[in-house]
Amino acid sequence: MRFELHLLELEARVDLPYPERALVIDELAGELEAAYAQHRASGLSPEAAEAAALDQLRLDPGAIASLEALHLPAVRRAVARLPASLSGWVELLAAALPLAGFMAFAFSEVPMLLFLREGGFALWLSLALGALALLLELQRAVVWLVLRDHSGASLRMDTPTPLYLAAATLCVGLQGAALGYYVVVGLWADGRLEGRRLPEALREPLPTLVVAATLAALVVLLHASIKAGLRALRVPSRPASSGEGEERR
Amino acid sequence: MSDGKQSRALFFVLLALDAGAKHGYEISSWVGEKSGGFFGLSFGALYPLLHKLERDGLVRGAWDPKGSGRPRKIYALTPKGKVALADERSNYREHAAAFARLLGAKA
Repeated sequence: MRFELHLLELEARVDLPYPERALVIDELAGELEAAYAQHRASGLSPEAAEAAALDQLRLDPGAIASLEALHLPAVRRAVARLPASLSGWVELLAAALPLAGFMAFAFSEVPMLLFLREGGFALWLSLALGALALLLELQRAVVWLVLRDHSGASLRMDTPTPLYLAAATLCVGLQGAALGYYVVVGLWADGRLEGRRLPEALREPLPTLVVAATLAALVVLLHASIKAGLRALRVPSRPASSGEGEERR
Repeated sequence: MSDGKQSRALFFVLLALDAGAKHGYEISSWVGEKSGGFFGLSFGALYPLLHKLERDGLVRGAWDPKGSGRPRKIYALTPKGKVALADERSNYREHAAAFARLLGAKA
């Protein structure tokens, strides 16, 4: 398509949040086509008309800076005013607060202390892995959907790491529960576990599985929700990049 | 862009849109055409200005699906924009009168 390369290059260069960035590119694409048609109608060759349209509608660095200043979300402007070392902590804190709230809610609604006692090491490990995955997803939600930082550097955070962590959480939960059942069945087979205590013993490995499966499901749901949010904002799945050295602002 | 140039560009945009809703490229062409080529409005200057005016509620942008090509954004003056244009008009008339007096003044 005509002007495609120019528009892609511009999309990578302009640090606007989506969907504003996509709308600016759409608008410019329409104007370029109109200018091209007018130059063609005035008798220019296709190459000359294309060059003239590009020259006429070029956005210089000053214009790009003005657009960026105009469309920068207020919350991102506020965070940008903080020292660089502090803004990273603010993002992390903003992600950690909902996680802490969720954990507090879980501890108040579910007998988590009993779960932790019964589940043992495997439950602690799956809890740590699941919480880390949730924290990563929440941090992405803060950066992409609250601060709306859609710079190439920020969008390169879009890796499947939280999903791998969710899978690891589930695996640890499954293995922890399986190991628990192995021990219980072994004790029962050896006659060291009375039959009337069997139901209680079979219950003990379950919390590990419940907690791990819940955390893994939450991570996947959050991941899918964030992806849907990005699609709704028209953020491209492969971030436009102006260079490897690009840094977040 | 200096304040003087920005203010002039703002006046041109409001004037162009007072003559009817237009696309960005048409606004730029209208200014050049109506001023006999004396004034020009680069797209680099026009585009951020249009977005600012839209944000401030002086113009309203809408996607125009007409035509066979890509949809284009068309801008129109809002009532607030008409008031701003009336202010700008009177301001420029005063400037023009003052310049006329200066140019006509004898040393």
